[in-house]
Amino acid sequence: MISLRNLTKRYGDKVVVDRLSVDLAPGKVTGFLGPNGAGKSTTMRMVLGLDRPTAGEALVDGRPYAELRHPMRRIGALLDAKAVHSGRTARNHLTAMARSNGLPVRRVGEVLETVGLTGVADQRAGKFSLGMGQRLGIAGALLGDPEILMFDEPVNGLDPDGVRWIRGLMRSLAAEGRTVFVSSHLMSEMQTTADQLVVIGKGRLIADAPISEVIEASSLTAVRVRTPRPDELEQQLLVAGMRVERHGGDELIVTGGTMDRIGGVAHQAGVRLNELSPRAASLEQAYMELTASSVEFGAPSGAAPAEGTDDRERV
Amino acid sequence: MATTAQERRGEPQQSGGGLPGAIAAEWTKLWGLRSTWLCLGVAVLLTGGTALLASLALQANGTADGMTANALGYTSTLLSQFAMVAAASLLITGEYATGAVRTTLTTVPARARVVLAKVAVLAVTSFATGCVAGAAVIAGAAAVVGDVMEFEAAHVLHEIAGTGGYFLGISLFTLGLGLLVRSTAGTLSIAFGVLLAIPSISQIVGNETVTAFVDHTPPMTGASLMSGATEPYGWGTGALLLAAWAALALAAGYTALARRDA
Repeated sequence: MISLRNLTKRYGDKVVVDRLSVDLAPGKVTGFLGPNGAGKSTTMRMVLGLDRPTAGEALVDGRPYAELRHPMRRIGALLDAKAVHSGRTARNHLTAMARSNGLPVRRVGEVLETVGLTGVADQRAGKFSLGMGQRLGIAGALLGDPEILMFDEPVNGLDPDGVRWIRGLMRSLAAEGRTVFVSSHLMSEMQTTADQLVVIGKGRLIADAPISEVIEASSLTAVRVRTPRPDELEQQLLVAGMRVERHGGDELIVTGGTMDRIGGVAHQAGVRLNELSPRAASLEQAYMELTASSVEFGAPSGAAPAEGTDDRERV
Repeated sequence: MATTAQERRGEPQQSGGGLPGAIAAEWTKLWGLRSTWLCLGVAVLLTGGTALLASLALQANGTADGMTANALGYTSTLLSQFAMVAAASLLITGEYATGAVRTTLTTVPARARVVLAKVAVLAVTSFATGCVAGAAVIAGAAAVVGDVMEFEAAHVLHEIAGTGGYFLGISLFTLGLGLLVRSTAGTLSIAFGVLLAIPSISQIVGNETVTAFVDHTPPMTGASLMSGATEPYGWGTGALLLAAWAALALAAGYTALARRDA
């Protein structure tokens, strides 16, 4: 289990991570979402003890990462595909990792098989494509058979086949009872893989809830109503404090009210309904709404955040 | 409730890792790089080659008579030491340049353990390389002026162990610099300055205080360690001085590693 307690990181005057407190539960895929520069990568780096928190703490199984004697057996992490020396072969890279944590060297062959790199195990990592680099990073994360896995943008650079593979891998790791913490900027990806969402913006926690709750809570989650007397019903719904949007002749899109309440209003007004159906917001819509006020590098109109990682390159 | 990884494995897995694991990992990484083989090979060949050239020059001038076998040690490593220094630097700066340092620090999170493991691996490697380079000096000298030079066991031993000790010292000094500076170019520039430029400049300046200080810096300890010079100090003091410089650089490097974000 990963626990963040008031985790804060400041670079000079700039607060990158701001009093973040989250517990990540086992047996679930927790998606970590936020606009570029929201502090996702910095948070993950603090969990691994690469960056030192300005205040607060990040704990792995109740202890700071630096105190773990065999960290790879507790938590496996893929931060980026570039944490490999380009002059070493995949096998040499993984063998060194295994030895550092007293893991049997036969695990190297096993994880290479798992990620599908057996054929290129003795090639130097500098020749690898981004996708192969990601697979090598994931192999390293799996090496210690850890209970917690943390992936930063794991589908970056993977082809559709690779994306499907990693989706299945994360689901099966969670099904085995492990904690899976994965950041992504691809909402559709999260919608299909994550159970729980942690959303941050400008370093602050915006939401920490099951994915279904995040979608339901969105004001964009609406109810579609069709009625032969739309004007009258619209009037009554507005009086009841709901927001109504007219679509075509007899269709209303109602937000801010449940189906029960809308049905009740219609019944009282004596208006017949031809349709009363839920219209869920997509995760993308819910997310955009949540983070609208905290997009740091977004277009002025509040357009979608640019694709890409939020890693500030630091060598 | 799903089974945990520990239960699945059916073994407690509390052994292994720690400092021995970190050393094993560093050893694996060091020898998994072509640059290591290249640098160390060049260090040995260049040392032996320089000794051979120097011997030929001595023979031509007829000045080899009565010289001891280890007299060529200092000259022979003037250039070749930088191949050793490059290997020492790459042990850490190569990781910063490629991003591999993030893997090193996540697999071995205790910073002191990382430094100790690198020190252990580099100490063994640089000492061994220095001994082989020292032997190459003896071989080069023996091949050309073997008949007129003095090859007593003490001289031979001094040359071999002295070069080993000198390479060990400057390698650990460089490792400390690398931890502090992080970049390969920066580390090598400083090492080049300390080992070559500063002694040359001080000779030109000729100020007594400056000379006295420079006499106690790493490159000048080499003369006492390898060639058996007794002025201004013998090999024992030279070894202590070089160890102190290495310890100073490593302490600064460790502090930087422990304090700064990776």
